[in-house]
Amino acid sequence: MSRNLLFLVVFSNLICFGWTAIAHGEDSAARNLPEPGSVVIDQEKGELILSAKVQFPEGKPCIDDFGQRIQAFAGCSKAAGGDAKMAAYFVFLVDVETEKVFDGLIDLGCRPRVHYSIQEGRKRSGLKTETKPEDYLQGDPVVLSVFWKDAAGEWVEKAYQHFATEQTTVGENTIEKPWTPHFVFHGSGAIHKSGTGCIACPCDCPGGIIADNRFPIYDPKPVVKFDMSKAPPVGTQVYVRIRPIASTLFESAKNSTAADAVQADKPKAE
Amino acid sequence: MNRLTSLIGVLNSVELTRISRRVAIILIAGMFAACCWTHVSPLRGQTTGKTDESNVDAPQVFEGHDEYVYTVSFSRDGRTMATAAGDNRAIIWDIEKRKPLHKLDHDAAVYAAAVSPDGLLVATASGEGEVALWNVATGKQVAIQKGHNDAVYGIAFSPDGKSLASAGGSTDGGDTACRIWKVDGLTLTKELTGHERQVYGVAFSPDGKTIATGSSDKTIRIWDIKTGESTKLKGHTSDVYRCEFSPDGTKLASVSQDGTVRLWTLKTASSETVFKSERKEPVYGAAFSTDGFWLGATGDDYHLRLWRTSDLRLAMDEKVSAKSLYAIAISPNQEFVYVAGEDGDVRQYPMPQR
Repeated sequence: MSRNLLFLVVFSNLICFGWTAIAHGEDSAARNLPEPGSVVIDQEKGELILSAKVQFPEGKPCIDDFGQRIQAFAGCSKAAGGDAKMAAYFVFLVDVETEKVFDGLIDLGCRPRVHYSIQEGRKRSGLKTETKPEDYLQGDPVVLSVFWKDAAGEWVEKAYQHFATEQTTVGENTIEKPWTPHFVFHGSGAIHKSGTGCIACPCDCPGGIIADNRFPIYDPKPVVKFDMSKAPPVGTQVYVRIRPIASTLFESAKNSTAADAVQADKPKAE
Repeated sequence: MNRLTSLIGVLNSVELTRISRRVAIILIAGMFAACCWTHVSPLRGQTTGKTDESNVDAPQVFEGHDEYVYTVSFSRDGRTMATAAGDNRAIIWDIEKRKPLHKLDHDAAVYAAAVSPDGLLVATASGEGEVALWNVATGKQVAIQKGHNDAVYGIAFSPDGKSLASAGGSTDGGDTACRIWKVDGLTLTKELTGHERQVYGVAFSPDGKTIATGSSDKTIRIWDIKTGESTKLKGHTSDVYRCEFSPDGTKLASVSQDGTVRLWTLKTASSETVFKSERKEPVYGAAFSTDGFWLGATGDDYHLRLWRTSDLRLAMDEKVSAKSLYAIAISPNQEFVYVAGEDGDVRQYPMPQR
């Protein structure tokens, strides 16, 4: 009887210990994920994590169909103190203001270099023989990914460009290729308060804060298709991870403040 | 009703059992009730997207802008049409030939253009805060004012053509004043201040005594021009874009980032929602016909919609393109409705039957 009691005590202690360990592990993981309405700035890993929900922007450009668009696939529901103007276009709808994402990247030492208002961007639009380096939005490079728990409860993480395919012309033929954007943190959307909500745009557009600056502003725009079947189901809680390659890692972060980064209203060439 | 009785007769003739005949009669009666409901419901079309205009003719296209047409405006006689666009240009059109008559170049995006009631002048509003007047016959600029510190989004002539109202701002507010100019000499006569964020829409009432402004601060203000005092209309849950008075001046239509078209009764400052977009797509443009019979709207779901104002029944619902639509105008003779937007084309559709 006493042996049975001892066994019961030991067994129940083991269960409690195991449960506590699992719960502690989950807590640890949860601590690195943002609560709704907040962002996680992980200085140690040098990354920013945003909370988002998947939505289906049916009928919008580039959704399940090749096209050109200025709107990001990941964007914020709020911007510039109001509802984000492009919120209906995003697949990954982040629940904080764009300005908070901007501030987070600045905190990580990421710096914009050339940023414009939408007005100024229009003036500098297009690839011409006289196009200058400062006609491209510029800043520190960033890498984006999206992660979520799948139906089996396993974490899945995919690069931002995993969800889309690009179309291009070779001679007289149209071919499909992987989407190979070059994302830089120019910060324009927050600095100039565009109010679009866009985080990472699939072209060089000053409405957001991160752009693919392979081409000059607005023209040409890459032809891309976002494949919704590659994204988790609508309504899924996902997290957007942004990892900057911060230029301030090579200098004193204290000597390069956020104020330095945003004071440059005039274009800055590298 | 005749169709219902004949259907029941057919059922009798095939000697159905009593039970199955009862079930069938109930089903048909249900279908008949549904048909009746669809026919009388004022929400018809609004919820289903169907309209009583099944055949819409292909539009005539006016090509001249590269992109982002923000407004389409007519003179009172309908002979002059002007458009404003993000390609830094306004265009005065030869409507018959569907060709640009004069291209009015600016240094920044042109967010609004208005034709004076007599059709002799076009006023433009630019992204660099400028208000300009242009001669319709020659296409030459006759006056310009750096009237605002930020972009100007809305511009309107008074009904007598002697005054011009303009307003704008920046995303964090900025210069949100609505300014009234004397057209002769483009001199400032009045400044209406109060909006907390940028102003997108400006409209004179038909009697010229009040001005309506729609703002990113989610409100519409109705200004008494003489006293400068205003009444706030609250109801939209996000930025208000354009607002338009009904021709009799008793109503105001407003469109918003919140995806709705609202129709305000000015006497009571109350509103009813004419339309709510399916996925909260913003609605950017609104227009009344000159007799107030029609109300039209366009927006980010790429549709052109027209309602009869008498019962707010949807009479036309046409997917125009796969690009956002910012502008709508109904020709003064009410033969055509014009829509334009992101792709730069201005499309002309025949109006539906009354």
